[in-house]
Amino acid sequence: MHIMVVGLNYRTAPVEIRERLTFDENNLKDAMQTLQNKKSILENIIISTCNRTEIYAVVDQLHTGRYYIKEFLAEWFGIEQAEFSPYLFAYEQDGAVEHLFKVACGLDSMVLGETQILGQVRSSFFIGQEEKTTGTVFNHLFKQAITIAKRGHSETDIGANAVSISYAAVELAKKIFGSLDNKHVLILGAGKMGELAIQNLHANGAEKVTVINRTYQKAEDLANRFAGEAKTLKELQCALVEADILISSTGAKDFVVTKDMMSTVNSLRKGKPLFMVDIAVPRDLDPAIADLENTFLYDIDDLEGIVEANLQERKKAAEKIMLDIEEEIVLFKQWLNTLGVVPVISALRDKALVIQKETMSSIERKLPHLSERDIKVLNKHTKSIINQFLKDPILLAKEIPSMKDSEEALDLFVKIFNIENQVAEQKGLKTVDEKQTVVQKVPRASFQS
Amino acid sequence: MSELFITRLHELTIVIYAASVFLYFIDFLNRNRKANQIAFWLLAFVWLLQTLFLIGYMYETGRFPVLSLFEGLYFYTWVLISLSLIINRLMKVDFIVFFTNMLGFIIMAIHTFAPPHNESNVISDQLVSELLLIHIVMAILSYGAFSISFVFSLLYILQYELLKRKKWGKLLWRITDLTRLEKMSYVLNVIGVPLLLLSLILGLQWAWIKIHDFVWFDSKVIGSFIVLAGFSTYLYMRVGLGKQGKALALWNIGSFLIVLINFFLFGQLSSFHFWYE
Repeated sequence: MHIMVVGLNYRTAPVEIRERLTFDENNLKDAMQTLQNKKSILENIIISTCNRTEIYAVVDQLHTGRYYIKEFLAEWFGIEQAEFSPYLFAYEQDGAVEHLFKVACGLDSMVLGETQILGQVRSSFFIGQEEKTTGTVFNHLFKQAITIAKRGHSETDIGANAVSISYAAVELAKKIFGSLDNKHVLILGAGKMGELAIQNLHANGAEKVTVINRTYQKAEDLANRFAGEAKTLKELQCALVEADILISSTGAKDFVVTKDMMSTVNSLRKGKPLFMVDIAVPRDLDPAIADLENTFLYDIDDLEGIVEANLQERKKAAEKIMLDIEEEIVLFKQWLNTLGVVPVISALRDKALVIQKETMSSIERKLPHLSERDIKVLNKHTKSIINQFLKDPILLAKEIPSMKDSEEALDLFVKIFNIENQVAEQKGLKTVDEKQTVVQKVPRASFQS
Repeated sequence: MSELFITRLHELTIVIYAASVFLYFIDFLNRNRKANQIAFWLLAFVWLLQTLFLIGYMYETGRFPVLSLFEGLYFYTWVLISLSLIINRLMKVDFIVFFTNMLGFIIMAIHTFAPPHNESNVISDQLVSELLLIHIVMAILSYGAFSISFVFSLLYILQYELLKRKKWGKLLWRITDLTRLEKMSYVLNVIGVPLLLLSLILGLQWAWIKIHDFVWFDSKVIGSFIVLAGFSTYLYMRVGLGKQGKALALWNIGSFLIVLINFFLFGQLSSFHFWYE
């Protein structure tokens, strides 16, 4: 049994390829079910977003698993394998587990630390469970991945703070006002930038909009689109007294708002904070305005500075989460190895019980005068001998998965008790036809690092 | 309650309180959720110990323990811890608990070195009445409200400077917004001012009845009225004049400094206030 992931994402494939290999949300169930019916696939989960299409699978052989996954992709999307194969990546065993953990935590996302992917991983996992394309291994692995991601997000600042300029401006405004609800936005300049700024702030709750532009008609057109009010440039000073947020993006060559003008305005504002963003080049707002009390003036470089600082914080958090992921991979391997112990213990018990049964038959043949009660007593005591004798070896076997060379130790254990055949019988339950049952019952552990 | 037990209980409280403040400090320096959680539960334990101490003390003395410097400071710390725990539960405002308890710990430390509660420093039994107890308790409660309001204003100034100086770091994102900080200091002053006003009225009434040679120009009396005037002016500026912003926060911080002066200095100069007959 092997774990693997085959897929493509924004790192490996251009959007022209990604868009052709994206699973429709509504067809994901059918896709997982179809893949499950392929040879070699024991369990599978498909994660499909605009930035990635990844197929996680438990397979009986790595090379056949990879082959059938590619075949499935080609058939499902009706594309020649040669077209998408160069863009595919594949990770196996530890690599696949690590990749899943990183994806769930948002460490593999285009925007480092974003949380949306966790919802998508969870949603795909639930579909897999519903459609029974997951078994013992993926039920454990995906739950673990979701737990790690949740912990990563709650214990670090990986998903906190803005990493885009527009979001940074909104976040900064929120550090002054808390919420933008009912805040009065003054837009200076009715160009494209001004319009985008209103859209962004409007979406965040700032409903009262005033637009000022050199050409009044343009200001009115833009204001009308947001149920706002247009004013002339002469009314700028009055508008500044009333505003909470000023976004300036005119094409003026000189400062539109000077420090003197703002000083006069400030004396009428009674300490009410004014959040000012100058996105014009050359700048519209005199930088000396920043010296005035309760005015918070920022330009585009400042916002970029925020994004950069936040990205650095996210990278630091990502490093912390990676350490956690490394520990979790070890824990997962230990868990997986315990699955390998189960058939060994069963085999040992079976062998011992067969011996006991044969011994009892021999006794009954050689001592035919024994009463039913005598046989019962003998049966009980011989079983007791077996149980007591096996107690320590079984305890030891349970400890083997946490040992350093667990697989060698387990092999040695099997050899010492000469139970290779019985173990093979236990594991031999798995055939391609019966794979679903086996996955649920006795998954074999051969997870190699 | 034996003297030894009280001493040990107090020492234990101090040590745990120090550990709690230290863990809050670690969280302040470098966000650490575990440290913050442990600090909170340690603080809750300190509150429990203090409450037990106060109950035991009340049982022993048969009165509310606010009649000496030793008792007053202890009760003040208890009020600060209680308020910070309540605020921590009701709203998640980073650093409020830390800063409040920095203040609380300093007061606790001053309490440790304060004159012990011997009889000569406690107002004589004949002078004690319900009026006096209510006066002192209300005054300390108002001081508690002003203290936390001060912490909110302190955070306001810190956040204001971070925003002005463009210091994009963890601190800026963890401290809450200016509007909320200003609103909380206003709300706490709205609670504190009437408490102090009622306390002063009751105190004057008590002094009028019990003290024959009552002096109006007593430093503590004047100091308390200056405190009341300071915070009333704050409310007038906020409500009457509609002022906001940095100047208001600075005014609030200044008013709290008068509270400290009044509590520690004017109390000592007073001719009749508690712990100095």
